[in-house]
Amino acid sequence: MRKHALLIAILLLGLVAGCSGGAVSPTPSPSPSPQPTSAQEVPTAAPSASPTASGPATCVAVPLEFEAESRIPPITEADHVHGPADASITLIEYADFQ
Amino acid sequence: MATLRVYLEDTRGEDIRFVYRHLPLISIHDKAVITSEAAEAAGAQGKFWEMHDLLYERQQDWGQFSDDELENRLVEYAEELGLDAERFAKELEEGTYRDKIMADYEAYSQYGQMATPTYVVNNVFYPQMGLHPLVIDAFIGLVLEPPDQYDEVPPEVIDLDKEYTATIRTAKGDIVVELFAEQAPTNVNNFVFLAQDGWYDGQAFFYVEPEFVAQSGDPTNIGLSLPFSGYFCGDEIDPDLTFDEAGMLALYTPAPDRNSSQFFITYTPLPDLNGQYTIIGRVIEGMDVAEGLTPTQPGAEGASPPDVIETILIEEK
Repeated sequence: MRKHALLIAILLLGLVAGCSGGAVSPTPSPSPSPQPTSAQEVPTAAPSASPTASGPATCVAVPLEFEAESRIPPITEADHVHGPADASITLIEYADFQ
Repeated sequence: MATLRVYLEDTRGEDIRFVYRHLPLISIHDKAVITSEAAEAAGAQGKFWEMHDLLYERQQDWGQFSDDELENRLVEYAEELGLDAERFAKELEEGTYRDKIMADYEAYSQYGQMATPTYVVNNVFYPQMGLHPLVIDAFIGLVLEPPDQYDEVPPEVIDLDKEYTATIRTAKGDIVVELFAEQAPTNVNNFVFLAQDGWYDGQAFFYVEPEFVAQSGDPTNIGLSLPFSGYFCGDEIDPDLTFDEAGMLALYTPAPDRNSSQFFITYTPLPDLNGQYTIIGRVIEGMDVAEGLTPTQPGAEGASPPDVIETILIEEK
């Protein structure tokens, strides 16, 4: 085991981009609330009657990495800030109100 | 972000600060600029966040207004917040803050994608994994403390001439599973490797739904579909192994060939899942223990604490 540096793999972005309610599969959940899970949200549209054998599989290393964006302007007095200046986490929200 | 802010201040207290930057999506949000100006005008009088929260809270009210109606309503909001309404109205009228807002927008277009809301945690963009506060909170945790991962795929730890069982030990008892090493050698090897290395120890059955499944194997305990183990394994779908009966042990994958550490046990026949998830075993003892796991789901209000895997023991015969 070892710790990796933080850096977002493109693959991950591609993987999660297709997911609706969170880190999950892109199907309607039986539950109305936006669940950040899981097997309940599996595709149910086309149960395949006779799945074909896929044979032995291989594994591939995919480090979970996150990369900081260096071009984000530093926080200044012109920013609207809520919370202590020495907080270890700074969450920037880019948004509008509509 | 009012709801998210309340949630994160509750979980993270003084450890977090929030910064709001304008990203008016002018092509699809016709009232984005004027409402951003209202927040700025309130901010000029020291009440940015109050106006920010009010605008989100009353989105339904003002969304349908014409431009004139909206401006009047915004002035009413300013009065409600105890602002100098005259100054506020004048600044909206004159577009005092429009340049500042558009400067935020222009700057952002140099490095970010145009989507709202977009979150950035310590300068790391939050991937589009949904807006559930629980998931965002988990992401913050990952940025602060990168998970331990393997930097290689699992070594071969099973012998295909032998038979394997896994005993999933919980405070409520043992769930014993025969493993299908012959039909799913790579994924059984993956599971056995993780179990023997203690990967699952202390992880929760974070998603348990009676008549459906019990799921575990995500160190964040919320079902993020990330390769926490540090690798993905391909699917091994054997047509002879199906979810037509209850008690199957399968790896959870968010997309084809993305098996990692997450797994689930089925409570009932679920033929809809056939062909989509790699079945690696079947419960042979302790189905009553599996069925006795506390129903829960991530983020559910008032949910009981989930059951925890003490360890998973592998036996070779």
